[in-house]
Amino acid sequence: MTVQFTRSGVVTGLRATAPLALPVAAYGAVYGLLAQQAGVTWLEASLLNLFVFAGASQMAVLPYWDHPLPLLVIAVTTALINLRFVLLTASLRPWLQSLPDRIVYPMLHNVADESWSVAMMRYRLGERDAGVVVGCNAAIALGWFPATLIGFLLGDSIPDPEQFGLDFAFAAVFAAMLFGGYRSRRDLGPWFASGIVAVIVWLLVPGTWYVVAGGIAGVAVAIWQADDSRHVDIPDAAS
Amino acid sequence: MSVHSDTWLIIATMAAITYGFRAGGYWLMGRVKLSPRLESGLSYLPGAVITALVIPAALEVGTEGIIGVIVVGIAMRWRGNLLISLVLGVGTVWALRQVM
Repeated sequence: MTVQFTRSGVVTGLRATAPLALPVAAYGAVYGLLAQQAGVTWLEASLLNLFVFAGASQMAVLPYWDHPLPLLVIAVTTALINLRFVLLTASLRPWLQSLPDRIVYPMLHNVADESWSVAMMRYRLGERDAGVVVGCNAAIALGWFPATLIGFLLGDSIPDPEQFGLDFAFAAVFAAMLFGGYRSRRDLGPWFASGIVAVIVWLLVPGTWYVVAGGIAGVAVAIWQADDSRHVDIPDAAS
Repeated sequence: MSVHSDTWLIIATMAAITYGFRAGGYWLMGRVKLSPRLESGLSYLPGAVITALVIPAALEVGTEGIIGVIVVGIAMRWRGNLLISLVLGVGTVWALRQVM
């Protein structure tokens, strides 16, 4: 299948990620509220939404938001939390590399964990339309942006998402995409390795190193498995 | 409705770091010459990263998070529908919190 980029792909991505709009909006509203309480102006929050677009890091720097702002602390916090994006976009390379750079590099700006996982599961099941990547990521942005304004305006009267179990929504998306993308027993080794390494690193090291460590451990086990099975014919081997 | 003078630098720094990572991973993969062996290994990268995201996220939610993941997994294998799986998963966590 050749890679293409179509408008209907964008719509497919938007629809596939639409169920996430509610939990994303709930946390967008929380961000708006917390940003306002931390003394971030509406315009500043909007610029952060537009140019940074990474909610976890935007939340994490709020405790340091006292003027004059501590550049180093904010830069290090941002780097620690957003490091994981390296692996997310690395994994998009096989899908997008036949497209021109001038299309791909702007697309990479709004890659988000949840929408990326939705897109990658579809890729695994045979999707090749790059418009899907754009649509998935756009759905997150569309849920997030207006909600931050609502949080800003309503302040303390917005309900706590945890009260509705919505704090679980993000783990739920990843779980759904993991199980939905399961193909064969050969997936289990890499996943198991990744899970163990991720938990250990998550407990010991701040930031999102655990995502990077888990991802690398999974790939290492996948390569080892392939080497190991070279002399054995496994019929259900994943490509 | 304003931007503090020192905020511009902060926003620019955060934006540069974050986009640097987002563009960097993609760029880096275009630089390295992939052997077929490494390439087939890398096809497992998304699944490994998703695993690394889900387990700590579930542990952070707590016991109900772990149970929720199992419910989502069953729902996804059953219907393959994200919305249904999300509703069942979040509903499970919500219900468990009412009784726990």
